[in-house]
Amino acid sequence: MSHGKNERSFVRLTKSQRIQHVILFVSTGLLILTGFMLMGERWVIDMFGSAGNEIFYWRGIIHRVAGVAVTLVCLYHLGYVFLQEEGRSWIKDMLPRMSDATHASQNVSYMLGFRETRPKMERFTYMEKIEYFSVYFGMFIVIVTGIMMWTEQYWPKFWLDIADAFHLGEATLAALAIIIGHIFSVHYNPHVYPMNKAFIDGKISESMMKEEHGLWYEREMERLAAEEAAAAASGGGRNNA
Amino acid sequence: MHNHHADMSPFKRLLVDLLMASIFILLAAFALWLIWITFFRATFDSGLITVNNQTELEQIATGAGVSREHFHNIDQAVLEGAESTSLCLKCHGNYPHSKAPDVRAFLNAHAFFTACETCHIKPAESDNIVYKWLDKKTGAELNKLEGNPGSYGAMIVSIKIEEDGTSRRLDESADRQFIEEYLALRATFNADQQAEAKFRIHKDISQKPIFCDECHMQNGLLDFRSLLYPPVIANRLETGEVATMITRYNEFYLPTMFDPTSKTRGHNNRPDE
Repeated sequence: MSHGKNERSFVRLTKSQRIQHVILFVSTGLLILTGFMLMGERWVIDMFGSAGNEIFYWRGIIHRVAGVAVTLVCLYHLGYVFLQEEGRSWIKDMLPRMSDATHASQNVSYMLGFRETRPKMERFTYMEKIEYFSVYFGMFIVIVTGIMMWTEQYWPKFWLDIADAFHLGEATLAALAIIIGHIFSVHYNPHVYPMNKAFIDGKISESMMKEEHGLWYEREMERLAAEEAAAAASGGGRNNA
Repeated sequence: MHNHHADMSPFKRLLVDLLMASIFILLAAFALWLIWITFFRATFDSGLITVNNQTELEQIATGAGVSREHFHNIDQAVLEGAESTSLCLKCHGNYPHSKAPDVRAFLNAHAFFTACETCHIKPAESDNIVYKWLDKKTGAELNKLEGNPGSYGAMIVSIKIEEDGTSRRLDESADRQFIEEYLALRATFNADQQAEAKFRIHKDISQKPIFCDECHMQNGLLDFRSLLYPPVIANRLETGEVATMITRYNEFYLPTMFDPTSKTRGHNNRPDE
């Protein structure tokens, strides 16, 4: 916990998590850009003129480099959530629970105006959990099919056509999920507009934590109170000695 | 709840709002485009379709919108004929490739604008061969490509430059008169005589033709730039989607259910025709 200019803030993302996120969003952005160039409108491609071949040559290289980067960060993340204490805490809090269904229904009621207050939610809300595990699903699809298309000489056309359809379909879904589900809900969120800086400084303000992660906030407060009490007790002990 | 946006000066807030609005519009447009290409963009060129607001009955009554051409989709090779002067086509027809069902469409499409000898008479390494577009009717060399791809009214012809500087088409056979006589009289020949004549007629034909990837490659047999293609198209023909497609189709996959002629799949489809 730290104190900002006006209010306290808490650690939302650690340095390791922020670095993983930066690699993920930069490489995913490049993958979306260079991937959907293949679906580009003819008149746009014609605008490249004689440079088109060169541009599309580099498009292929950049797409593959970004693909390797995203694969490596995914593999690292798997190791992170299973092998590191910090990662295990992350995945433990991220696992779906029955309370998520309750929070989902309460939150929908709140947004529809049937409920006065937003439900108190955990460190990760049901929406964040869905988004997080969707990335696992999506990455599995695009990485496997991407490797298949990269090694096309080893595959029958039948499987390549399936890989192509899955790769494009999942990429479209992921791009729409990132744009509509992630960027708009995270950065255009009125609480943090124009930008949620958590991905840079890793911090969440006390007020936002209270509003969006009420249960997590209460737990943190209890933990801090217990720590302070323990510190006071040990400090008092020394004084008595 | 604390909001940094509220702490900004009005001017800075306006700039941030403009920037965020621009990003919003850009991302929304991209999202809409993704939805468009996924669900709505047609796989064909909609510009080719003539919009007719008449009902079907009205069209029948007026005759509007009813094609006056052949019911089936007849391509130009049939309408125009591949090459009237070629002796080969007198026997083999406008669609000379029929043995390999998986790739014959590709080969026959090429026959429309590629003279038979270009692929079927393999020049010796010492031969000085140039490839030119020659007008189908006049035989004159083209100096510009005009028209739809492949439909230039001309064919790619292999021409041998002799040591004395004279040139001749590779299919110009000294046996031309013999071939014409044979064609006129072949009904009167018995099987042995026909076989003997065919052997003589085909003596210059290479047993294995020039395959696609011998031309559709960098520094291949055909120099697409000297064949008047713009550099972008030439690159595409030798490195881009054409060369990639050939690599993919070299082992052509077609589900068995669509192939009534073959019981086993996975054979190499390099044509022997």
